[in-house]
Amino acid sequence: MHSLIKHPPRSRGASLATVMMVVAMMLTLGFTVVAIAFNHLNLSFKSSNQAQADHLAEATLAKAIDRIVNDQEYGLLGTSEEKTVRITRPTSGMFSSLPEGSEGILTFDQDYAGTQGIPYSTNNRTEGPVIGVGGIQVLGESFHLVATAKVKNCTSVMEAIISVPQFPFSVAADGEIRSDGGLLVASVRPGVPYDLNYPLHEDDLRPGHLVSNSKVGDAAIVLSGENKIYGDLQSSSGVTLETETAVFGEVRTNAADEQLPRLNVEDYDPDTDEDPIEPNMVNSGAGTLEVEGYNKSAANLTVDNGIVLSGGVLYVEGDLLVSAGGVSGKGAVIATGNVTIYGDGEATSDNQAAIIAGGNVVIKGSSSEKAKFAGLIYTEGQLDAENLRLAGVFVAAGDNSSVEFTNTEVYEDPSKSSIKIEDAGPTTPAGFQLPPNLTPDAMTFEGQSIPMSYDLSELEANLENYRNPSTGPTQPEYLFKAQSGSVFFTYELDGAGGYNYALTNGPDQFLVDGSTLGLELFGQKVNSVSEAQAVVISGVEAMVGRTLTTNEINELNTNTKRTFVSGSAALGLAAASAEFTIANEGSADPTGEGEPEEPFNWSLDLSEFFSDSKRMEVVYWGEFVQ
Amino acid sequence: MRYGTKGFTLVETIFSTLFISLTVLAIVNLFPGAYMSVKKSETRLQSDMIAQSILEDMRMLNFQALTPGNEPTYDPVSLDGIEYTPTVTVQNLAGMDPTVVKGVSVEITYRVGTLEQKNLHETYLHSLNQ
Repeated sequence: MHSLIKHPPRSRGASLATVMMVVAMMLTLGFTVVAIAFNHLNLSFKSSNQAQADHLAEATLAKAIDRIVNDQEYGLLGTSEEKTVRITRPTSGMFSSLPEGSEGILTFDQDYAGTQGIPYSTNNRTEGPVIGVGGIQVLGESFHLVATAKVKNCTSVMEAIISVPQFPFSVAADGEIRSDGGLLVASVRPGVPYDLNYPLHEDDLRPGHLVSNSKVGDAAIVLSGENKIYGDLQSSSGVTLETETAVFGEVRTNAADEQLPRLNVEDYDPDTDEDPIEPNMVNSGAGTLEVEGYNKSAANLTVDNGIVLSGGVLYVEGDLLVSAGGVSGKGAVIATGNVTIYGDGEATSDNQAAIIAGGNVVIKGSSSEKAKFAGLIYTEGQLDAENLRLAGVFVAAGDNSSVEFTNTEVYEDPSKSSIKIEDAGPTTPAGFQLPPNLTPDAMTFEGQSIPMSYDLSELEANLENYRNPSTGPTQPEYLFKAQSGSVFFTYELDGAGGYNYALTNGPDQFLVDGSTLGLELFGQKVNSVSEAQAVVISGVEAMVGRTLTTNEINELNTNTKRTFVSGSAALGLAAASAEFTIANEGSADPTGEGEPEEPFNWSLDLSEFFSDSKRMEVVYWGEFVQ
Repeated sequence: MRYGTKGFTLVETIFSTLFISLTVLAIVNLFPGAYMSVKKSETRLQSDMIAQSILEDMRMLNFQALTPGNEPTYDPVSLDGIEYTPTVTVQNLAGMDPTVVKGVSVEITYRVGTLEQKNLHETYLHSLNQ
């Protein structure tokens, strides 16, 4: 029997191997579970540390804001430590719970930033743009703040762009603001030329704010129908918004009152001026009223076909009625009573007018053709705007003021909140001539001048090469471009005598290069920014007899670049050619041989009513991306 | 008849059983710790998110109305059976203008098992319009 059953040969140790395998598998499984769990924990701590680093970076930015609000020159002068904002982990109080070694730093000192391996911040209170860290363009009247925070092994770099606009609101009223629909409030992207015959493109819009100091509860701001507010809505009491109304910023109710500018209309009477000017007296009549110099109407004034301001001021003692044609150009219309304006008018970005009324202002277009106005509207009474497209600001200041909008677009253009009219009298003779006072921006180092000269004769002789091939009422007459990296600064000259500049990309036939400018630095002709910078650095080192520091080199490079591409060269050309344009087309006396006019100056600047800190606003806040 | 040519010996069986039991016991002992770690990390992430959302909310509030002793209150939040209780503190900062910058702390208190956990998030808020 036994011999019939066959057994396989015994495998000695097989049972042990099986047990070991099972144990190994179980151990692997167990350790995997544990590893995953601890990995998860590590990740959560890392995520938490990253969030803490972000908070610390934001706190560092806020601390820097405290510095610049109280000192707009902060970061420009002083030692490295004085130019640096720092938050370190204290032993008690805020941030004491952070890990040892946690720190937030923001510095305006490029050298110090270099040694720390962190990006630097830029304070640019000049009018023009400068180049900040990583080649970023920091526009005039703004700050570029970059804060770096480290918490354990996590780093956060946050940046903020703080702008200081001339006037902080698009629409501001002491009384109620009401819209029956079709209201759009936004601001215009800086440098964008526009033509109010058309709505601005959405890409060119930025936040524009609407504020009311009224205390009448939810009736302080009532927006019925479809309205779009691209910025904040601020009320000293309440607001009523219908569902079709979109507010893309914050809605702030029960906010503190904003102190609005108060103008005394009668102060603008030329007869009561400290330095009285004999005004041209005007009366009601048919046709278009062209306003040059100082003009006055001693009684109510009616104009049938629009007012064109050609660098002039019209003062009306009483009411003003413009029954058609609107108001356009550069200048100011002031009335002690009511101002009523009908008609579309012409308004492009070079228009800059002010309407100042002691009474009410009514400005109306038609549903098929909106009225256009570029400038400032100020009233101490009620403002009624219907079918209007405005580029500028609305201010209704006074106890009885209120604002009513119907189908109105308000594109805040901060530059329209100030207006300066300077009429020096005789005009420039015809022909292209450089103004005698046009000289390049002087560059100095430690008080010593950097030798520099321009020879614009080649450009002058070939001016027609820069004539804009596109024609039309909104087209600039000449185009000049100067290149900085991949960005072209465009200077556009138009018949109204001004120039605008915008940033565009791509190649351009209107490029003004160093060769065309005939630019010489230290007696050496230079044709590009890099050549100019190299010549300036070596020239200055030879001049002062020592090697320059990194900070000094950076500063000189920035100044050289500015001078080369967007400073005296192109702007000088623009100014010169603008005078040429005025002399040939814009002036009533193109030959310059007429009687000299009596010179007069007139200016209004709403920014004078606000401190810098009140005007500051954050235009960008987020992670720094280089 | 020959013995010992098939099956496990008693010694082998006892040894194997003991070895596997000890291993299983050791591994099972790791599980509560692992579970607690996972729970701790999950709750920490949840509390981070709650704190951040409160900080975001505070950025939207009227800055000048945020004063020490007049802080907004936030209700406890229950997620996956755990209650997270936020506490907000506003403080004026030494050497800084309280109309421009204020310090804000958001502390989230919660329990994982019997252990009380706290998660503190702090930053400064500023008054500029955005």
